Amino acid sequence: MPGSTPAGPLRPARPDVVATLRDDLRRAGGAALDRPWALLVAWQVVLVAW
Amino acid sequence: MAWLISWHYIITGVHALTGPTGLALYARHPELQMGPLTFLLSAPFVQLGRPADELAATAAMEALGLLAVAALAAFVDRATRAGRIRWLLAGAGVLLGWQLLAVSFGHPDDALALLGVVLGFRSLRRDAPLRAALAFGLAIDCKPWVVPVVLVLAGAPRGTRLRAAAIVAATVALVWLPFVLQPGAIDHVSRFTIVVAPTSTIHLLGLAGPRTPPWCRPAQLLVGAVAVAIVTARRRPEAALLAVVAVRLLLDPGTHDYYEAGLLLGTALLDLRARLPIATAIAVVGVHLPPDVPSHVVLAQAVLRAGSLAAVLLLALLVPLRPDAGEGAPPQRTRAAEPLLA
Repeated sequence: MPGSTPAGPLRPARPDVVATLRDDLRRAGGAALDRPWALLVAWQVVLVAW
Repeated sequence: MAWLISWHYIITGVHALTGPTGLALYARHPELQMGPLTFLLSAPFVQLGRPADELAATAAMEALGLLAVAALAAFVDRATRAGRIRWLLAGAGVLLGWQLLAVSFGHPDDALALLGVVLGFRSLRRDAPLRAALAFGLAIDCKPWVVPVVLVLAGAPRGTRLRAAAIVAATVALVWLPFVLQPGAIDHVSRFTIVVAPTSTIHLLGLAGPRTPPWCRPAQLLVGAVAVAIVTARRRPEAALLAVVAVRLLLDPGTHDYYEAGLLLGTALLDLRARLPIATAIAVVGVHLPPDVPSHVVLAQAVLRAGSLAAVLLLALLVPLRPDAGEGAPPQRTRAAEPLLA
């Protein structure tokens, strides 16, 4: 179009590391809380080893 | 190799029970404060010899702890994440105390009695008071300090109360009477001696020495029974175990770490219905965490311990509870937006 600036090459958006990490942690935490037995047995093993 | 501090009591009891001593077990061994059913169930482990007996017993007691935690699941709504988190926190607290009982000391009597009590509460919740009575009776057969807990059966439907009481009486009589009727048994069983620990509450009251005051055990049973009567009248049977254990620890000359298994199981049962796990937090900070301390701070530790136990006892009697949410609970509004620890 006349007067418009030609578009440069598209640069990939910079990933939001903090948001990604937060989402991953939330997903992993949620999955772990859906399996409380696994957490409890792991806790028992830690206590016995202690 | 031996690591279980109290396992030698079990070996002594099993050898006495299966040897010539037989039913004169308590008359000959007044130091044994465990129920006959404990020795009977522990016999196969003792037969394994050292050190396999301790290894197998530790594994079995750890498994009993997981069973007790599994039984707690009946007191939450597992369909919701909030319910699962409550159960997870409660289970984590119970296991904290349980490992002292199972891995450090080796007290199958308390492990079995506590499992019996929590299974009894689960049966009560499932409207099965007769099964609860059987569980409570078997718990007493393993360790007599749980006797006051049976008073929660007074809250059972009127038609089943008498039968429940009969089941408890029969279960206890069948196991204990052959031993108690031996000459000298009652005298020896009731005259136990434990050194009064400097961090105990009764030491704070000025009672010190190598012998236990004679009123200790009767007072534990009597005050524990009054506390259970109060929580039953207030329709909060889940608080009964905590009430009994708190009274027991407040009036006990000993301050052994393995007592904390019962305390933390009691606080877990209460906290599953409380708004916040305050009782467990107090028990952990005031009783579980303080290590053995040098003599100049013994008084401070005794005060902290007594204050914490009095606080959890008051919580058991008085703390406001949430509406019931576990198995057998009345249906409630949608829980989709329920906050984690509402």
